[in-house]
Amino acid sequence: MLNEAREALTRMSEDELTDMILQLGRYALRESNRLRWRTGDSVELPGGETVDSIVSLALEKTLSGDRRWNPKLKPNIQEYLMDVIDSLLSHLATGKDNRLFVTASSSIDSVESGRTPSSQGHHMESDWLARSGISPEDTVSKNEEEKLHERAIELLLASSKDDPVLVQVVEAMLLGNDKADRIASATGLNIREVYNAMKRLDRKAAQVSIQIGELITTKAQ
Amino acid sequence: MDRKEPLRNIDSVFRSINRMSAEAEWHREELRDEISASGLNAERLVNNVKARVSEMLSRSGDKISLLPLLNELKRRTRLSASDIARKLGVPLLFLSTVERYADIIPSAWRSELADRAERSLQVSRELVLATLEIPALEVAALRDPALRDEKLSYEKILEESGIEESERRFWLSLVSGA
Repeated sequence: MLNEAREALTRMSEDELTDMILQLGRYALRESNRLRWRTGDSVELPGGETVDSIVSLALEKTLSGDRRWNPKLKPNIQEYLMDVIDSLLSHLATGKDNRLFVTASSSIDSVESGRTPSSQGHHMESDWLARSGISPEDTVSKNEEEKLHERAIELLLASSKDDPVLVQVVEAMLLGNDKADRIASATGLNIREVYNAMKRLDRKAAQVSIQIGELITTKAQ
Repeated sequence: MDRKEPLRNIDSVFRSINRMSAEAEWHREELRDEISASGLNAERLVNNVKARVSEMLSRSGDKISLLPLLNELKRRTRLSASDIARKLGVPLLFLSTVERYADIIPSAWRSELADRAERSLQVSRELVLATLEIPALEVAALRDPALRDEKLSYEKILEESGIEESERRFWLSLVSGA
């Protein structure tokens, strides 16, 4: 059977391939940022994986036919590869190698010093002991989820307050407009303005994501 | 009618932002900066992933997808044949002869051309080496009928390709290992 992904990648110019890899790298970083890792690091992931290796793996699985891209269902191969990255990261985040590790002493140290595990990076990891076998993703209960959502929105709006277009876009998204054309209709912005705003918002969201991650980690201790 | 539900989950908001950002137009430098600011080496990411993709594409099952050297380089770089030759530091005639008679040229020449392509055109050396392994039958149509019966050697290729004397000595030295 013809492997459409191989054909598509072979037809790509080096520049196109470079751009796609960079775009996938940016995408994977943001998704990784959003998830909670026992490593406290969104680049170096559990199981010896990294954001580089996740992007590589998404392409390998697609090229080998392990994941089959159907251009009729999803014409843009980059979008398909982003789906594969989602799946790989989700698998890694819920896998047994991402169990929450923490010690009583490190927890007390963190509280006393005001430091969080993620701000201490890798140094924490070797000292941590397994706690109840739950993943960081599981530490947020349903009733806390809503509070975190509200806090994240507050942080996002606060960090966007000097950019009225961003505030408009966030508000439109909160009303359920999850596509650029819908946001454009809801705000009266043109589609280009929405996309430009989205790039600025992407950076803000990355910062908020880190802050929320730190909140969750602190609560878990 | 299309009913919209307010987003009640911050993950959904972040995912939508990430997806829509990917649809936006990005300059390459902007992407590099974004990636580097997040603590990832953008150059290393591109090189690592490209090397892996090239390796997979150059496996035997993919040879049908590769074009002979010059056409493959044209396709990947969007440059003209003469610009490619200039960037590789060889006459175009030399390059086209190498393409047609890859089965005759020494492996040291293949390796040198692959290194130059990686350096000057940012095309991976594995891919260049793979294009030079396309079976002679597939490039037969590109060959010069006048040379069909002539016994061709790499020395003859150098002689016929309009290469300068100093360059000629360089390519010969690669074969002799001098």
